Amino acid sequence: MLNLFKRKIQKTINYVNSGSIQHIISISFTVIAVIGMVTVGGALYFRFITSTEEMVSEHNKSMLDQVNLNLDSYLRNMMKVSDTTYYNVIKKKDLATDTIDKEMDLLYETNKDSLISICAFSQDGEVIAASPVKQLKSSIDPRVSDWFTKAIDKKENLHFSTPHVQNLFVDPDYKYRWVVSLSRAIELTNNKKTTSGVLLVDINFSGIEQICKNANIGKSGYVYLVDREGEIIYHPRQQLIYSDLIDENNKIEAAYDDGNHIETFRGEKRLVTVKTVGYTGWKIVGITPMLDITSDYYQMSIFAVFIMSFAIFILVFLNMFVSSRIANPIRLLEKCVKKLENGVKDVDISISGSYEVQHLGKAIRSMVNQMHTLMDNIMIEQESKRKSELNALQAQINPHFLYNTLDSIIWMIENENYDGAIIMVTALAKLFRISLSKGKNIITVRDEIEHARNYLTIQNIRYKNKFTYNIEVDEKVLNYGSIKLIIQPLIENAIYHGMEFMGGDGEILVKAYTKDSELYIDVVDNGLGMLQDVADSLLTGESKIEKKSSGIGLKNVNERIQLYFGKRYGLEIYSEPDEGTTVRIHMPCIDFYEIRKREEDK
Amino acid sequence: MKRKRKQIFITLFLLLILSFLLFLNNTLWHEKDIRIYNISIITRGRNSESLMIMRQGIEQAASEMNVNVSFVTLSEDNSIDEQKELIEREIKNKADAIIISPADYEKMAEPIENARKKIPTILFDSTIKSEHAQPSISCDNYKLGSSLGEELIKNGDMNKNILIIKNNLECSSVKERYNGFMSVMNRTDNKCTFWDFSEDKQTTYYNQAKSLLENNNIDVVVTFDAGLLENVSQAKKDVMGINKEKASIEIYGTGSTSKILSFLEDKVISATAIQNEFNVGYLSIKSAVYKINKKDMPNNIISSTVINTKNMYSEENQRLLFPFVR
Repeated sequence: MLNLFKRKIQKTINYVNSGSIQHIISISFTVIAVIGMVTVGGALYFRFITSTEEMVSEHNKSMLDQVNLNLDSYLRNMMKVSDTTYYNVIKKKDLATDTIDKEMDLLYETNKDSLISICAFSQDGEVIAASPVKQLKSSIDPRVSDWFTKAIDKKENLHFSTPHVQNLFVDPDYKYRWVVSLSRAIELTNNKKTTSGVLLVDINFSGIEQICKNANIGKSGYVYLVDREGEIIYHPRQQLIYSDLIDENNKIEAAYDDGNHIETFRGEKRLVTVKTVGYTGWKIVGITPMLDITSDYYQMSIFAVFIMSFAIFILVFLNMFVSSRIANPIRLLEKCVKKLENGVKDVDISISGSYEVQHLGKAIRSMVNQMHTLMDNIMIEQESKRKSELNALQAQINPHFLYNTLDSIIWMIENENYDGAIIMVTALAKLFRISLSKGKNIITVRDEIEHARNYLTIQNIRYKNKFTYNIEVDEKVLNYGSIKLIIQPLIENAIYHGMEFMGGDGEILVKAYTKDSELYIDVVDNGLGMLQDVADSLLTGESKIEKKSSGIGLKNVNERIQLYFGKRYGLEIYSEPDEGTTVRIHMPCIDFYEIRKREEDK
Repeated sequence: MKRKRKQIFITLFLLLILSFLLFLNNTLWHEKDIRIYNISIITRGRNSESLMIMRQGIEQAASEMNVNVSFVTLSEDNSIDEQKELIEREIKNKADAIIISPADYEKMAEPIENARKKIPTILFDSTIKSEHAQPSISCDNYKLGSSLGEELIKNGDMNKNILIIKNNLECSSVKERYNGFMSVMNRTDNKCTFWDFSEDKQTTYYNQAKSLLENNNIDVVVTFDAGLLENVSQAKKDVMGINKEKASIEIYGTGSTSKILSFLEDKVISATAIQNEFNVGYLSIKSAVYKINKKDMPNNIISSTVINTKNMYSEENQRLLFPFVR
């Protein structure tokens, strides 16, 4: 089970990690949001719980303080009645000569609402004075009463009894009243002799009941009153407790200190607030069932869960929306790139989304365009390279030239000019050997010059020394690499265009040298020459002059050089009419063996 | 795929809103969900002080359990016809339950059985003749009667002329008390004579009691009804004023009105047997509410005590006799 769970988690993590940007963004954001929401919600909820408990406790406390205040003033009032009756009435009078009924009646009347009776007893239990005046029940002896004995036993104190039914006087209406007796020992002056007695003030119980009843602590909370021993004085369900229908934890709660306590009584957890009343030692006990407080928690927690799930829901939605807004353009771009990878041409790269993604899209688009042009260029170059090489190959075996040469040789042999024939055949053989050169494209300058020399030898014989030629080669350049068969077409041009129509004294100079670490080979003639404009147009191929040569024109040579070495190299033509023409080959100085090595490495 | 996801999303959202509304509704509804019960109480007598304590119990229970009580008394004591009528009327008035003290053990059996089929019916004090076990809120009346008899013996009445007023014996509670009392008397040498007050009119009771006391040679009078006890006691008190000899007549009875208590205090009445009326009232309502909700009522025993002059102000009896005036 645990393993399964672990595997599930691992799977999820893998899924998230390997997923798309959208997934990563939305899932991680959602997880963070959920964690945040739950943490905040939980924290608030617990804060709420503690603060509610505190609030209830505080409220109970202040409520009990209020009850205490009321009760205190009520009891103080009663004590004042007792004090006044004693100190201001009884003590000042000699009972032998004065009556105290009038004063007591006055006191009774002013406090009628809270009093049942005020009564002074002698130590023998006889009524000295009573208000309202009533007849003592014949069967009653006050001396056995609790309040009487207590007052006599502890003379200095005021005594509050527990509530009881007043059982002193004959009542024609058969009314029985619940009272709390306030009794004290007094000294009676009778004929200047002092005897002790008891002053009894019976407090109407309903006054105390009213004070406690109105205390409101929570839905089903209540306040009750116990005396020092834990006997209930007031309880909202007093009669039920007396009838044993319910019970109260009064004995134990009476022992609590003032303040809040939490206890479990009859399986019910409740908050007990205790407050001690002054003078009497009574305790006000406030009970709030915890269920009252916690029932709110339940609702609150459900409410919180709902709010949280709402928020999470909306966040998830927003996350998905935002992530799709971010990720969609990237995904589109990615799709386009994938198409490109698969070699699809003419992909329309989408440009959408945020600024960065748009920029990326634009960059990729321009890159692709550039790539396309580059590829086109390469193709064109390859094509022309192939063509020019074919041309060069044709130049290797120009049948017309071969025929003419062989014809000349035959003619020489027929004229028994064997030496000339030998020279011619040797030159021809050399010429072809070099022009083949094992199919290589690059040969040494030495070979190229040799090739030119052989060609000149043959042509000079054929043209019957119509021109003279001279070859000047710098020793340094001999081992440099050169493209094959580039001098020969130039010489051919010089002969055909420069010499043919001249009467004689044609001169051709072939000159190889280096300048600024670059290789130059000049072919100079003193032929007809031409205008520089025409010379320039020869290389660009715009020339209208019909070529009579073997077809390998200047242009071809130029292209071959440029294809091989780059645009900055090639041919330069300098010409002036009637002065002659110089065609200059410009190539880099690269050692032939290096070139060969490079080609082998390839 | 995308559309499906959207659909799932919207459904989830709607579900969430729906459950939230349900929850809100539920909590609001829950607050109002305090059911108020209408319960009718039909006594077997006129409104008298003896019902006061019980009524307090009823009111306490009613305020705790959200009960609307309609307290119906008869215009004449133990009127069977009137009780029948009232049962009909209260059922018609859509009472949720009826609490009734049957006036007659046999004659009320049928109407109450009929009522029980319609709404929960709780009996108090007395029961009816029925095959079903009738829920009745009452103390053990037999025991109450016998303890009253014991009290007689305790006071030394072993060989006396005892007059037993046998009114209302058709009522099961009185009958049981009577039986309990007689079971004790049968062990003694007391001579029991029986008397039945004629006419069910309380105004004449006093005069009948007076002549009874004046003209007969009796030592002890026993009644099992609070009203009768009051009348007999009043008669004795008045007769005592004229003829001091009659002061020696002892009166025993049941019930606790303030008048009875004052007679008890004046030693006109020797002892009265009482049950915890407050509990009867409280538990009647409680069982009615339990019954409406179809729950089983836990068994509560109602206590009974014999009160005499000496113990009437004891702490427990004070509480029993003089409930707090609210």
